[in-house]
Amino acid sequence: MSIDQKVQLSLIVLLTGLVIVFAMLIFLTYIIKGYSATIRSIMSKNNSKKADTAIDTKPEKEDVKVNESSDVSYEVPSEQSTNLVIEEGIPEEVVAAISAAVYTMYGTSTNKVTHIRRSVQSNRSAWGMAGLLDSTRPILMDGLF
Amino acid sequence: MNIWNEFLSSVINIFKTSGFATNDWRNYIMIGIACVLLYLAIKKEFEPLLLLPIAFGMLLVNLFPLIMAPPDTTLQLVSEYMTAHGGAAGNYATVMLNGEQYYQIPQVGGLFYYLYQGVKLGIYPPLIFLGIGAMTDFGPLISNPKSFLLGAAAQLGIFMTFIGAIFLGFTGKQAGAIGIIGGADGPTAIFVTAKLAPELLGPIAVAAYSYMALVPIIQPPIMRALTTKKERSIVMEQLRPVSKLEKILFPIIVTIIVSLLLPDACPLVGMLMLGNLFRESGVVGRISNTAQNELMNIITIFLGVTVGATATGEVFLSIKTIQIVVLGLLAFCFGTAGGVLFGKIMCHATHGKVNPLIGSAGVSAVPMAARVAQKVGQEENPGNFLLMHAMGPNVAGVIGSAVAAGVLISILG
Repeated sequence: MSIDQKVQLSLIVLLTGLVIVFAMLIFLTYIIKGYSATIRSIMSKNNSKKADTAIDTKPEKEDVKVNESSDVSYEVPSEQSTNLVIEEGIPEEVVAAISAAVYTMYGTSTNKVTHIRRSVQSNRSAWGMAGLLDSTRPILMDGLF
Repeated sequence: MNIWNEFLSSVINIFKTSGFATNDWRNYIMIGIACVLLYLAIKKEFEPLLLLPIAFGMLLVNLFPLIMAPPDTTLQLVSEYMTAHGGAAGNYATVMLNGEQYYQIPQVGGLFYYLYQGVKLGIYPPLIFLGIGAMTDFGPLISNPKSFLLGAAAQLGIFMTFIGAIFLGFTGKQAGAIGIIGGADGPTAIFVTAKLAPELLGPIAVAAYSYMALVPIIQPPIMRALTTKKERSIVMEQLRPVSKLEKILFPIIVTIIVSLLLPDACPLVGMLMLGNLFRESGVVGRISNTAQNELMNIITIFLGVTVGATATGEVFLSIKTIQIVVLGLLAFCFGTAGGVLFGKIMCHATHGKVNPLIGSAGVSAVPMAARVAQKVGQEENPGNFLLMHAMGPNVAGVIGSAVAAGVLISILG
């Protein structure tokens, strides 16, 4: 193979390879963004419909208190009880994150967070936390490729 | 006296067929290399799941080269055969040579010859991908699809190494097979090499798996050299949760798009996504478990020993192997650099929301490369958890290298 042929082949493979790999993966990026957005909008519509239905059909007072040894108590309140009691020093972002987590876990919008307070700090050591993280990591692969 | 002579003659014949008489010095060097690789796999735990069978395959083929021998046919005089078998005629085809009739007696090949057909015919790598798909959570990638760009950028190593190999005198097909080492993806490297340059399978597989094991050593200096302390300290936003429906649709959509646009990548990407669909659908738990455990382990054994068995002294001990080892290292370095540099571009484009270190995970080598990104990030900021962010480019790199493999096979095959 002459130098010219080598240069030509190198450029062909370099350009074709990079352009096709980027084009393919950019295309996939947009497709995934598109279908993710569609699914999320459909799901949020469904959720809001369910919430409306739930409000219409469940006006009576429930007063179930759940406290799973966490920082958060949440109740299914009556329509009147809307005040959220937050312990001093807990930032708004944390409140929002906890509310979102409760909403994600328990689903219906009739549930709302009513109390947020700090619990006693866990006794778990840094090594214990590292072990917890390690054993709950979602990727359970062992370097096979 | 006659008995003594027969005894000596038998002993001499046994010695003549033993490894001491039939193997040459190159086999002994390869036996030494195999022992070093076994040490690295067992003691240092360098990719032991594959390096151990590869090293043992290498050991066996250099002790007994006929273990990889293809099936053959031997000729035996019909009269000799019948004498040896008490006058019974054999059920073999006959051929006349110099006025004498011979039986064509087929001889079976060596054990590894038959196991190697799975590599040669491109069966094992897609099956390994099936298992990998069943073990992979594409959630971080679906949550942040821009990670695909980092997975694409890290394929730079493949194409830069291709150029280097061409200018070192390799043919186009051989250069393509060497370049794919930069994909940092063992099954893909074996798949492409078996198709483009099967004669280089041994050195390429050993180089690919050795460098993958060395990712924690190769990548960090490049990552530190190409980023600033401030960039390495960037804390990325929490990834959004991904719904089950999104995870189920992902493998179906990726398979359809990639297979339609680049059919050569279909066997790898298709099997990867099939394994992932087993996992995410949640309705075939038994099949999913089989794919990621029993099947994966069986194929890993067959793939490892047979790829190792291609590394005979005659093939492995050549200047080409040294060139492949050097080019493989460059491929990893270019791939890492490509990912990190593109990560920097994304960092600037998003006004500092992307930590460029996660770009290095785009070279595949799942999940090692993602762990390296996490480790290097935590050196600057102990409270920074980049692992899940790095898993996005990491699994995108698997798809990216499969696409790059399809491109190379399409252009050079």
